[in-house]
Amino acid sequence: MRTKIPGDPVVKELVDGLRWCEGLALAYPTWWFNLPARMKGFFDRCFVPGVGFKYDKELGRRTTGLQNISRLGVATTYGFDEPTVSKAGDAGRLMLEGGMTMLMHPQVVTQWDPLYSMQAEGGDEARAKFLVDLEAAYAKW
Amino acid sequence: MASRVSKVLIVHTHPVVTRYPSFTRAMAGSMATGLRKAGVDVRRVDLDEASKWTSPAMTQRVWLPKPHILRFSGTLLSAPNGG
Repeated sequence: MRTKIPGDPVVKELVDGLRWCEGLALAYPTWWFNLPARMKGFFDRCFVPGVGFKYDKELGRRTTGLQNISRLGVATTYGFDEPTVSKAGDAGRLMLEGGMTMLMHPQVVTQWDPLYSMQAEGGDEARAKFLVDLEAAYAKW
Repeated sequence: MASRVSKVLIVHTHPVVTRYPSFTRAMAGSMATGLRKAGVDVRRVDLDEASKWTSPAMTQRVWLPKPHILRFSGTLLSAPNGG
């Protein structure tokens, strides 16, 4: 299948990276329980037909396009606390864990590192600890 | 336990100035440092630097709806089918 990739050089760089990698790691602030627009744009622009998924004429169905990705890691911050985020549904997490992983390896492993209430009083220590913990967690990849 | 990986793409963004504008970059930096310690080959793309994609949060102007629109919205939100 011929892959159609938009002419944007950033998209080409990202698509090249998606096809090259075995693990994908994302870092972003959660806004209103979802991805910020620019991160959503990454998926909209790069997970296009021929990249995110392919149509297999012989099988007569869609197949995953990024089976090379066997690990997905997400580190994200929230302004709200965990109960509030859970109550609101956490659309960003649902999209990534429940949806986008379907375009990756069938046994893809997800690691989710959230920092809730990141603007809370006295949060300097929590933020510093979060960075240290992230480094330790990714050293095990 | 998940199998080890040797190549990782890190994609990150923090496209508006907030109280902690550099924190997401620091998060991506911690991820990259940890991965490199494990001998993983890392590519890192900062969408804010690499891309000029429009983010609604960056371009929208402050918009205050007129009262009749607010009432209309209220009607939608309270509709039996959930709006």
